[in-house]
Amino acid sequence: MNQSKRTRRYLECAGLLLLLLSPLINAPLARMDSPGVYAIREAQIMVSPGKTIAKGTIVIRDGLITDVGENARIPADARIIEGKGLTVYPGLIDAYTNLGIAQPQQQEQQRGGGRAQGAQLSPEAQQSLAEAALGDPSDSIADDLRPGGTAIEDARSAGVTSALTSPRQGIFLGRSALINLSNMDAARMVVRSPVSLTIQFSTTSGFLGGYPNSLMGTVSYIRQSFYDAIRYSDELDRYERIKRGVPRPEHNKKLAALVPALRGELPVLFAANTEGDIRRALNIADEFKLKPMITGALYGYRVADLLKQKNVPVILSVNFPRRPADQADDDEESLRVLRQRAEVPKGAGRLAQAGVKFAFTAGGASPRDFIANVRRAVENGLSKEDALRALTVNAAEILGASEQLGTIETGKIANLVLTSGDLFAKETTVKYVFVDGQQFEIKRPETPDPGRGGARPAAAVNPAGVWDLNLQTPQGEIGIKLTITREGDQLAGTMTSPMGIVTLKSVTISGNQLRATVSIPAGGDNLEGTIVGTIEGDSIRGTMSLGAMGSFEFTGSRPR
Amino acid sequence: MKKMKAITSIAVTLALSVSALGQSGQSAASSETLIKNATILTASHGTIKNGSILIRNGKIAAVGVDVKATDPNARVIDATGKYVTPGIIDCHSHTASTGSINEGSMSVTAMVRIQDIVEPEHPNIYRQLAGGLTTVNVLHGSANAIGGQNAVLKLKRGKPVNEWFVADAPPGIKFALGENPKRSNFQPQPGQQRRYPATRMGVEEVIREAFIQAKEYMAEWQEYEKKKGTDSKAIPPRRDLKLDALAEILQGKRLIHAHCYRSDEILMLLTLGDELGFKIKTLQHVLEGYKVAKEIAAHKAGASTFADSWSYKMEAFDAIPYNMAVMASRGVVVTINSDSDERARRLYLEAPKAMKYGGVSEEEALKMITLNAAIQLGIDHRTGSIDVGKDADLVIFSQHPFSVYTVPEMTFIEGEVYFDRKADLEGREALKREKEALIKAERGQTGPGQKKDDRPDPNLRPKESPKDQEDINR
Repeated sequence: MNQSKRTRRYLECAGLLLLLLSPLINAPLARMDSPGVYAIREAQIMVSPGKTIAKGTIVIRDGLITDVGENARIPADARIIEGKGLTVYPGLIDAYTNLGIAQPQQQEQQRGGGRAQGAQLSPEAQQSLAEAALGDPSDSIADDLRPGGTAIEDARSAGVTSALTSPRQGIFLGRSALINLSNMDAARMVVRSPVSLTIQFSTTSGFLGGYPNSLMGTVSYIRQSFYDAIRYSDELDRYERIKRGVPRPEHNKKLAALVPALRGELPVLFAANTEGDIRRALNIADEFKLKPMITGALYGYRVADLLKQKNVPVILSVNFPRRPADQADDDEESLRVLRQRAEVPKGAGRLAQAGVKFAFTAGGASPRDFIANVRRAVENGLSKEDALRALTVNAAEILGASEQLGTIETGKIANLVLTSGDLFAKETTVKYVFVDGQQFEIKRPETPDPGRGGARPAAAVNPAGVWDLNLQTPQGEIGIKLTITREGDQLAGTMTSPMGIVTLKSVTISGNQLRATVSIPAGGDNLEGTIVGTIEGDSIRGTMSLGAMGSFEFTGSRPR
Repeated sequence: MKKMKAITSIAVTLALSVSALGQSGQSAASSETLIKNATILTASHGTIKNGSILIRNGKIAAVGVDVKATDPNARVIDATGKYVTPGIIDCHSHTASTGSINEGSMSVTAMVRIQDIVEPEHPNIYRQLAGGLTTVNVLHGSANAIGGQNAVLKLKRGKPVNEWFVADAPPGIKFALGENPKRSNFQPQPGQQRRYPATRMGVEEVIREAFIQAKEYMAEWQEYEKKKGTDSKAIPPRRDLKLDALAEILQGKRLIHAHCYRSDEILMLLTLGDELGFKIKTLQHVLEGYKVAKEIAAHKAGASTFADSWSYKMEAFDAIPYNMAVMASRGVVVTINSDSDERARRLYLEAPKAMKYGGVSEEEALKMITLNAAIQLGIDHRTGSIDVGKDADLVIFSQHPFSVYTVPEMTFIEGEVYFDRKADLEGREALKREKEALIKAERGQTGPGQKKDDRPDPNLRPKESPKDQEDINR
């Protein structure tokens, strides 16, 4: 109440100028108690990679940095943050995420049939799934953002203040957007949109037998789509020139959405981790003279020279491959796999050495592992300066926002992270985070991570039984039955879905966390699935990821 | 094929040894290599006893009894008591590919390309090099009447994949007849419609229909070419990647490799080709080829077959051991292929079966896995036999290549060593130690997320389906 009173008084004094800001104050989710003016004083300021102010002040007003320097004047109306002993970094950027994506809507599906429990999907649902697998290049995530949510809060608490976000289903993933991880309404989270047209080499996975169900089919599908867009663009141009006597082009938003990419106006971001996928992406880019970018690129160091030669920006995943948690200690692994796991963390250093411009993405790992994984890249040959550059300036440049983000300079957006020390030191913690000039609480992880010497996990619950799961997909609910059996310490089970019955590849329980992996035969290939759920008594909730088809949330129960 | 899995780890270790020694595609100080004192099976002009081959800049510079290196620093390999053959060529392979080799969603998928999915890392590549294989014709599977476009590769393991393609090999495409394209033995996936066609008649009609479409498409482009420049309304037609490939067939630019078994379907396709104006370059499998060998020869189609596999399925019931010999005797260019990464390692033991059944000469039998395959793939101007000017694609065998006791000792592609048995054996201990060191290092560290469960990277899609299982659609 005190705060809002102050806000009101402030408004009265400030007069006309501040009326311009009234949308901020009226916004339903904006913090009413923020005065919007801060001064962080006596802090070490990492202005930009390689440029440090040992002890200085940063002034924030109405979302922007208005002053920074050793002798910056602290305005009378500023709320003071004591920065003594703290280090201020530009807000970190995760350059490829699925943050802020609306939950799949519960649609009215499977009319008259209830949910499809181990049965065939309705033709409408099939059609819808097949279309979703292809994706829609005209989808724009900026139009479909969902503010709030714990994922955004977690990322922010780890020091990530901006993120590129992209839809996660389909070959054509639509248009990505750069967003600030504030808690404002969706419209004001967007920093820049569209940033890219995003494409991944996924297939229909034989789901419903639709084309393409092979990788080579996917490449052909992407190529044909661009050729169709060329033709569409020709038709539109002709119709612009001559209206009489020529056929009127159809209105086709999907093809129209590819045209800016063909004209080089919109970069095309390919999700590609392996050398093969990167080469596939660059071949397509060459064929259609696209402006390519690569996200993922775990194995990109193997084609570092090619990426440099073609000047392709990379958004490098730091979700390095790990020995699977459920793998037995005496399981034989090939030297090739062992070598890969040792080599991949060295990739960032090698890209830097080759002069490839790259930013980082957590690659789907948890936000608190993001910086820890970047630290691993640093331990494996990347300089701290290059690591910071990737997290800030490079990301801003690659995502087309270097005027607004990436450094601590006057006029830039006030996205800042205050840490207890060197960002890449193990013991360092995040103390304050500012996004768009708003100060946010730091949410501490609720459970200590058992992998890093925290408390021992609680005794495991018994997951045995028959679980009915409702998988939420954009096409509606799909019913899945998990049957889990337990013999001594050994867990096993089966999964019944509209794709048939399959044996679970692995089942593990850790505390109340159930994890199962499954390989579903589909059209000559296998669709790899991972089910992760939290068990509470006889109910369960969690997510199932199905390879490139995306991840889906589920809830379920174990009828007694 | 299941056994393959059990030996995977050993083979992977094997597979890595060459690169461990840092000599995959080793570059000698000299541009010359001399292989001397060998028994040379040329596959084109008989056997040279106690002969030598001079390799210069990746090509065969000289071959004969008194060949010497010109460079005093040339690498000299003494092959006394050993045999040299041309690098073996497999005319029907699915190796070195990632993802499904069948785009099985439709009956005509001429737009998909194997070149887009070449995977140069697979351990099977090294196993095949260890069997003397140098060149492969990687084909689309046989699920579709008209499948995808093939890729002719040399197994240049360790080189960037774009260097593997035989640049001047004419492009090709897979066709398939019989049980596989009519899908009668396959249950559709849940939610999937049964695909047309379901009979051999239907397969014929699907192919006819596709070419009629292709002809209309070609006419559309011709029309545009005529109007271009003069008619302001003329814009290029929609480029159709599927019909592009079919048009190239009609223009004689793209070779057809047609999967088939029965003589009736073989005759159907030859006749259909005459009707629509296309030629078949090779009939693949063609186990009943002996029944229609005269017709195959008259069409000038090649035949690429299994050395045995008699009666291995219903449509192969009339297969006979003499198939290769009968077709060859009628003037058909015959090759023996693997259709399997496992069999591809020992094609040199498949070839002599044509000598046992039908009395084919030693050189003819060798041609069936070398020169004839090069002819069928349109690359005989550069490989397939030991002749001056051709690529130095060579194998050194410990004994006669058709002996069951023989072991391939070295495999060369364009003059570079891609398999060296001696180096392999010597390198194994180092690999073992490297592996132990890696395991130790990894177990010793507890980096972030090491032992816990995380959401998997959504960008990481499963890459390696179990390729060691034989795909029945091959």
